[in-house]
Amino acid sequence: MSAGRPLDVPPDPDASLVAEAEQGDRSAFEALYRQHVGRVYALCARMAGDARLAEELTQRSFVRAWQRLDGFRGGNFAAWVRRIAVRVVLDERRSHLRRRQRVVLADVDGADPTSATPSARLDLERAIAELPPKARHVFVLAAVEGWTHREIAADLSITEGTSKAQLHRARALLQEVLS
Amino acid sequence: MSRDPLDGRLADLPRSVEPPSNLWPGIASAINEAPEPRWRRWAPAMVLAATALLVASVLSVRAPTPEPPPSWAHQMRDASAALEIAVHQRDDLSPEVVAEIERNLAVIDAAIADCEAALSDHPEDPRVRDALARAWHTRLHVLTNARDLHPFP
Repeated sequence: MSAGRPLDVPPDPDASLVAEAEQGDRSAFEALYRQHVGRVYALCARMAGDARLAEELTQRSFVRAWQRLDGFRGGNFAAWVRRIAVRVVLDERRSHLRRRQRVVLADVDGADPTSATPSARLDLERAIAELPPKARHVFVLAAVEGWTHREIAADLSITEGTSKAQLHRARALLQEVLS
Repeated sequence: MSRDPLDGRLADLPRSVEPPSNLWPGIASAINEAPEPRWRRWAPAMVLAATALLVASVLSVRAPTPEPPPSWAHQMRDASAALEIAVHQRDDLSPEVVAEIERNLAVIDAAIADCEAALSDHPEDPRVRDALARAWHTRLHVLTNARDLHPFP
């Protein structure tokens, strides 16, 4: 993500759907939802460490995206809606609205069938879910979503140094648990 | 250089995971029940009013004694007045929303005035009549929205 953007950046494939949604077309917004719900749900589930809560957070993320479409300044809609999801997760964390019940991701649709066994994936998902919240947030954004420490620091209102420290802590905890 | 085993396992994590249930009905319900975003509610009105204003400005040569507007314009004026009364009777709108409605109406009223002035000099010009009709429709649209608007929490 930190690499410079090439000059011949292709147009966002969602651009026409976004334009229609901006005009109030809910079916266009539903198409955007279908396109991106998997990435948003995975992000919410991993950051929240709670698959059930992630469903509600995913819904809130898309509702907030609908309400704030005027704030979308073009570019990558997929990245924009995931940033909204990150804020929704953090808002939920701050509000302490509900008791956390840790449940690992049960659905691994979309996984590469040639990759590790499902049990190994579930072990990792479970281990990520058990990380302390701040370390988990940084780890998911940095190691899974590919954000830079600068981007993480800006969105999580922490310093880049803290982001690096939390990532280091998360990796150490995961290696300990998984070994 | 050996690869960290954790990185290898991370690479196997699916980036996309479908939620166990269909979340769209809940989202659709929320966005249908919520008041429309303010930008979406007013933006078309402002565009239409601006269009009417532009057409009227181009054609407007003000006459000292303007011709009366067509009868449909009177009907729209009456309908608009009735809606305006209904909006004024609401006491649950925030001062910010009321001020925004009034700003919109001021723009539209200026467009209507310019259109009526232009109409006196070009009574048969379809562009002027169309601009006037659009301006009135816009005023009705804004007032209808204001009458039916859910108060913000």
